[in-house]
Amino acid sequence: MSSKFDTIFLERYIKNECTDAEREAFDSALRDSPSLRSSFDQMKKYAALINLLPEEKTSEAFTDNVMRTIRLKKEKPQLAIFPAIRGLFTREVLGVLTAVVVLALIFSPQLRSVSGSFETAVMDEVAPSVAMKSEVSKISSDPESPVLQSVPSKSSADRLQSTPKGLAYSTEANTHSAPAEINRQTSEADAPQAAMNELASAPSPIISTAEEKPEQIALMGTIRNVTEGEYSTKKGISPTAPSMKDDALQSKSKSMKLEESFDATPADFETKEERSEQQPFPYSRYKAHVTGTDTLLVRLPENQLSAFIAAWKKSGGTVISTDIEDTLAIVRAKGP
Amino acid sequence: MPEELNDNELILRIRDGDERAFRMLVNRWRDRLVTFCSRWLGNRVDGEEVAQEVCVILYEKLHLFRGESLFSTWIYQIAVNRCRNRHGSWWNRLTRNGKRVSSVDRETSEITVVDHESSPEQSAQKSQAQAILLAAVANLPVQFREVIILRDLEDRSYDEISRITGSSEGTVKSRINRGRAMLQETLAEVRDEF
Repeated sequence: MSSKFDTIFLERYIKNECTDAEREAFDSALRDSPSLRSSFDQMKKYAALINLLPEEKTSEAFTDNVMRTIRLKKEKPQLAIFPAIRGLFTREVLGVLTAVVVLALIFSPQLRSVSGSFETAVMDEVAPSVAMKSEVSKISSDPESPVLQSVPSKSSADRLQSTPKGLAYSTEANTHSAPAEINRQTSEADAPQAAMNELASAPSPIISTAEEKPEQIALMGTIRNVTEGEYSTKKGISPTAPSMKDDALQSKSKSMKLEESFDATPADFETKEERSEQQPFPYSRYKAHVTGTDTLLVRLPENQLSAFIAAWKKSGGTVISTDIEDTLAIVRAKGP
Repeated sequence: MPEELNDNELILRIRDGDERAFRMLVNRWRDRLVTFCSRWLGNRVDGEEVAQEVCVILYEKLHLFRGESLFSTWIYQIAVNRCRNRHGSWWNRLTRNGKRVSSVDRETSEITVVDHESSPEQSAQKSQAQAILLAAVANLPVQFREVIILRDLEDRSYDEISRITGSSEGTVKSRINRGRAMLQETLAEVRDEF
C-alpha cells in the first residue's frame, strides 16, 4: 500500500472527508494500481464490518451493582484508608524485621564460629580454668607436647573440618606426653606418665588396641574441654573441689590470656594440623578439665573411667573423688 | 430529573450529593463502557467487571475532573487504564496463557455478535465474520488494539485518542494504520465470508 494512500487516507475517502484534489489524485492512482485497488476493497469491507458491530447491552443490574459497591465503600471507610497505610506500614515493618534478622545472623555465635571469629568462639566455649593457664603455659613450653597447644592459625573452615572445637589431639607417639607435662609441674613425672602408659598398655578393650587409640588420645586432648555449666551441674564434685567453680567462672576472662600463653611453634601447628586431618577428634564422647594446679576432672565412660583410675592409682596418682555413675573423677597427679 | 441534562450538568449535581444524577450518568455510559472494556479485554465478563470498577472510580474521583477536557476523554482514560491494569495483572496473564482467541478458534470465540435485521443465514454469516473480527481485535498487541477500538469501534477523533492514550497524534495514526493492516491480514482467510 502506498504510504500516501494509507488506511488513514482510505478511511477519510470512504467517509467522504478528503478534499477534491485528494480525491482526484486517489482516483487516478486507483485506476493505475491494482494493489491499491485491492487495499481499498479490503478497507471498505473492513469498515462495513466494523460499522455493523453492535454495542454490548447491559441491564439496570449493572447500575445497581455500582451503587451497592459505592455504598459498601462508604460504610467501610477503613477499606479505603488501609491501602494508604499498608504500603508505609509493610515497608517500614518489613525493613526493620529484615535488618534485625540480618544483624542477628551476622552477630550470632554460630555464624561467628563459622565465619572467621572461630578462635574467640572456641576460647569462650572451652572456658579453661585459671589454673589451666599456668598448666598450659608449662606444658606448651615443651615443643614435643602436642596436647594443649593452641589451634593452628588456619582458616576457620579448615579448622572446623579437622578439629571442630580447635582441640588438637596427639598421635600414638605423643599420647603419653600430656600427663608427663602435667606431672612435670608437680615434680612427679613418673606417676601420670606411668598411668598413661598403663592405659595405653592395659587390656581394656577400649584403650588397648590400636583402633581404640583415638579414645585414649581423646582423654588427653579433652583436658580443657569442659564448660562451666557442665561442671556446675555435676553431682558430688563440688565438696571435693570447692575452687573448681570459681576457676570455671574466671575462665572466660582468662581465655585470651590462655591463648597468649601458648608457646607452640608454627611447626607444631603444622604437625597438629596434619594429625587432626588424619583422625577426627571424638570430643563429644570424652571430656576432662584441669581443675587446679595439679588436679584433673576426668569424664569417661564408666568402664574406661574405672580402668583409668586403677591405672592412675597404680602409677602413684591420687584420686580425690569419683562418681562412677556419672563417669566423673577428680584426680591429682601427686598424692595429698 | 430531566433526561436532557448533559454530562457536565450531571457532574455538577453529583458534586452536590445528588445520587440520582450519578445513577443517570452511569446509565448513560454503561453500555459504551462495557462494550469498550469487553472489546479491549476480549470477553464480556471481564469487560463488565472492569466497567463497574470504572464507574466506582468515576464516583470517587469526580472531584478531580476540572472540565478542561471532554468528559468522554476523561472516562475513556480511566477505562483504558483499568483495562491495561487488568490485562497486565499476574492473574490475567496466568489465566490468559494459551487462551487467546484466534481465527482458528472462531467457533468457540467468547465474543458473540447477533444481527436481528438480516435473514437467519445472512445473520449467521455476518455474525461469524464479526466474531472473527472482534477476536482478531482482541488478539492485537495492546498498543494497536486500544487505538483501533477507540477509532474504528468507538469513533473517537485522533486528537481525543491521543489524549486518552497519552501518545502523540502521529503515533496514534501510525498505530491505527499498522493495526488495520494486521487485522486485514488476519481476516484475509475468511474474506469470502464477508
